[in-house]
Amino acid sequence: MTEPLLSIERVSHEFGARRALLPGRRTHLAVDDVSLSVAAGESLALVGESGSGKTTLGRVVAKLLTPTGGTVRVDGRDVGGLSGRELLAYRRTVQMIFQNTQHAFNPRRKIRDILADPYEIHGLPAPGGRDAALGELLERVGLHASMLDRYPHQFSGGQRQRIGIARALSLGPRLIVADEPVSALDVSVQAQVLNLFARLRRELGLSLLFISHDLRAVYFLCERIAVLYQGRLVEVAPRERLLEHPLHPYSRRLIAAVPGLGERDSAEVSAADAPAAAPDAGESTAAAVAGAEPVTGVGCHYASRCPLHLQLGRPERCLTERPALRAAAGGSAVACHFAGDEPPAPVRSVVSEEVG
Amino acid sequence: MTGQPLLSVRDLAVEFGHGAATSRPVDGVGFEVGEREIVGIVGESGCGKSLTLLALLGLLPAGGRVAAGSITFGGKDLLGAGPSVLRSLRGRQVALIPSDAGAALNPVARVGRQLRLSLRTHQPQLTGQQRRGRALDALRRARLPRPEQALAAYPHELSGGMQQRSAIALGLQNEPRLLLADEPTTALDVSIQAEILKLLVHLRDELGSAIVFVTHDISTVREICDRVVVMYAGQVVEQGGVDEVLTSPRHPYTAALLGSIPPLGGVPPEQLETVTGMPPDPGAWPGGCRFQARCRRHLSLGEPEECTSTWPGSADGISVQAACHFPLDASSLEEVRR
Repeated sequence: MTEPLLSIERVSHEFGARRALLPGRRTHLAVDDVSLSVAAGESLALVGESGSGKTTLGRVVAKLLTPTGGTVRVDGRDVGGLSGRELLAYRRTVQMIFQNTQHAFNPRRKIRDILADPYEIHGLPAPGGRDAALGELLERVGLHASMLDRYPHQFSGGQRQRIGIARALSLGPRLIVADEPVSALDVSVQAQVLNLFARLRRELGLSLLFISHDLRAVYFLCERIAVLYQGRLVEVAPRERLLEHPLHPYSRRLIAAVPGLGERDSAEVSAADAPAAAPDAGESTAAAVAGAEPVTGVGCHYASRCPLHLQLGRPERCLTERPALRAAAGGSAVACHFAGDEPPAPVRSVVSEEVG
Repeated sequence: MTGQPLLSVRDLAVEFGHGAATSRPVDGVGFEVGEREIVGIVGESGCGKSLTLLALLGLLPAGGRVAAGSITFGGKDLLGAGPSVLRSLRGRQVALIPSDAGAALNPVARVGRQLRLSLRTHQPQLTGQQRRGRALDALRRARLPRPEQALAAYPHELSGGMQQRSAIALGLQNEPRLLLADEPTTALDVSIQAEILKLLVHLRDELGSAIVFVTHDISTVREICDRVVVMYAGQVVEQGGVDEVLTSPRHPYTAALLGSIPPLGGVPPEQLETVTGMPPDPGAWPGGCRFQARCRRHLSLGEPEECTSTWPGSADGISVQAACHFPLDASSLEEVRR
């Protein structure tokens, strides 16, 4: 295989690390030793619930955050030490799109000025004149050149997200980091924006790091899916593989939670999960309320909520040894001591008997 | 549905503004909710679904008024009812679960205090001891882990999912006959969303409350609702049993909404189906069918004249399944989907 466009090597990010030397300061390890790569033209999804570290990892890749550990390479080059001209060049290669379209733009500036910024900052002449270039950008994302003189508030949420995409595209990036770009939009508008991403990928050969908690959107757009849980990578697999043979118990739970999956009888399957899932879900947050640390450094983060752990009679190994990411069949990789390739059929019933 | 429905809405219209600047964001909405029934109201932003809900409670934002129609709850006419009657119903018999629980809870009062205050307002006969017990009970019913701790917590100390559960506890503790849930899961993660949806179904089973569930996400409707009402541009365009409407939609808009959900499994399509264009503006509803300008079926049938000249629905907004001159059948549905 050729060298990946992006490679994330054992990256960690700890918030508050520098202040931690002071007494009484607590740190938060948002990303914990994650390694991933994205090939040129490939689209990789980061999924997980709030607090899984997916946004932090995206910001590290976009170089909006400097990781406290590990290395990010683009085209084989460590981007950690870049500065000046080289940093600018990096910013042309990797661009970011944000979730909240209301706060992503200066409300007092026209779209023309907002979109001209990248050219100004990078000192680039726009091909064929600035106005023509900006108009073409807007057309590319499905808007009209005549809208250049409007302000951000004059657009709907879906249109503003298109403008965010246009801004990211202006410098011809090769990788786009998109942080929940459709979750704030209506379902019907989501489809339009997802179609736009799909079209741009085909037309421009873009690579995409797509951060979302919506498995449906992710499945439509990304060839591979990486599942994060509390800062750790628990599974990464090709999309069909992850959907049909999820290995990690947490991946299974994520998939069971997708609303309206298939026919209505799937609701009954996931309903079996409910008694186990509901009390567990809040456990860690409740612990956080009480001021206790929800997880310790050793062992598997998911053990306290894990149906497989319970089914196997709470093996000691889950609590003492952190599971390493290991390769599995079908191109999957999973970080679990016990996840096998067998279908998970008996897991659910056992859980509902013991907990429900 | 058998016998008298719990809630009956007929030809409801909500207006804002006066004279030439009058707009009607809700225009002829009708539906019924039976005892213990979960009814979903689905539509895009601006279709009037939330305003419909607020009109039921008599809580329209300033400048809004009910211009026509009737709302009957448990045999009582709500529109003619005075403030004191409404106050006795709100919270006690009809409760609202807001979409943004973080904003709905009082940030400077502990969760327990907010629950007790609501109990004191709606059930003044309870003693302090009883109120404390009820509040704890409500949090347990809302499946909050460690409810004793949650009672003593301020809202900001809780996660989003726990805030939403607290808001649900606030709504259910007076055991209302009807719960109105306005997008209760949109601000939440998928896994927590699934739990909240299941919680709503449990509550219906335990308390026997009927639920009106407003959402823009038609796939969540399939999970929990018995019946569904699809709204577009202030009107009901289709309603019926969930299985019926979601598997064989008759209105092209419903079909388009369903088609815009990305399929999970198999080889993803190159493009998702979308509804092109934007919904019309409430100040200037077009004549005839309001969906016609975006309707692919209208186009494929050679733009028939009826679509632009006459509204295809019934006068009360309730007696037909789909408000369309040319409703889809099995074969035309295939065509639309292709």
